[in-house]
Amino acid sequence: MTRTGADTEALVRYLVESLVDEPANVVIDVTESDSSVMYRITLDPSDVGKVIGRGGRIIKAIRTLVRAAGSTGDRSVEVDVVG
Amino acid sequence: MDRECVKQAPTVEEAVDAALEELGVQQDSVQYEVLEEPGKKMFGIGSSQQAKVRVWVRPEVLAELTQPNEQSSEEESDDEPLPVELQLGDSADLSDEELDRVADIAVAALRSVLGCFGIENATVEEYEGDEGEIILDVVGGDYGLLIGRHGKTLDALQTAVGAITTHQSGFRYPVVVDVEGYRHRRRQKIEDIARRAADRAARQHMAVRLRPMTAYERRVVHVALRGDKRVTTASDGADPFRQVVIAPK
Repeated sequence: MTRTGADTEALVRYLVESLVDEPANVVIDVTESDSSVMYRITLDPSDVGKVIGRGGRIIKAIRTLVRAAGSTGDRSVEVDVVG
Repeated sequence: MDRECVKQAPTVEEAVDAALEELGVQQDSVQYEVLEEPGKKMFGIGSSQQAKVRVWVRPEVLAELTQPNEQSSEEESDDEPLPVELQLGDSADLSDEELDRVADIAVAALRSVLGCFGIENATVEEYEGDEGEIILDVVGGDYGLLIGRHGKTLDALQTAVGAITTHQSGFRYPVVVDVEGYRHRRRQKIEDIARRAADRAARQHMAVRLRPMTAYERRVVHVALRGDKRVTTASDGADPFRQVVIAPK
């Protein structure tokens, strides 16, 4: 693999900020431990639906991509919108 | 069809994937528990113990499956056109300039995501599909990572790039993301399966039921056999077990 290294946090930030109307109001809180990485996303209330998507379609895609980017090793990865 | 199974693999994720394959359902239809955690790798080689998981179809999904389904058998009407969930009436009327702008936004979004994956030097080939969709094919490297098991990562990539493009351009125009022609090959494979099943149905005068497929895959089957005068195709059952049945005329 010729990759120079994935940046999972940048990925979460890029995806979320590109989907909202108020990117300045996006706050991403990262909690890391030996076994897990958790991204808690706080958004302008008017933007929550855009990041979750119909039936959770968008947030599921974000989770899949973040897990695939894989810079988190064997740890479990959570991505949640906290409103 | 089994509603539950136990699988072992080097990691929990791989074990769950194997179970999904056996159950023939998608991830959001199941729950699972980890029976045995995988052993820690020693010096990066080998693994002392495999992960073991029990995976079962969620009760509410099962309940849906056992309820009588009014639309249980019909022609292809509900099988989504290509590509999935991305069509709105007015998008067909874009001018060339607008279409170029949509494509530019889609390419930029795709490149940004690739950059976050640490992929800087991929080539993105851009072309128009048979049904007018914008196809972006990432080539020039070993990018299996972007495809994932059964194309799951690729589907997520397409969903994300599509959503960003819609949001930033204001047009809901179909964007297909592919990697090294994976979707194209996959489509050909499903078309082969469809044609072989049609031959069997015609020869044996018996309906042939294909494995559960996604809406996109089902549509590929319907379209592939549209011109086959020997058989008719219909989708039967409820997602995620919805299947195409190929019946002799």
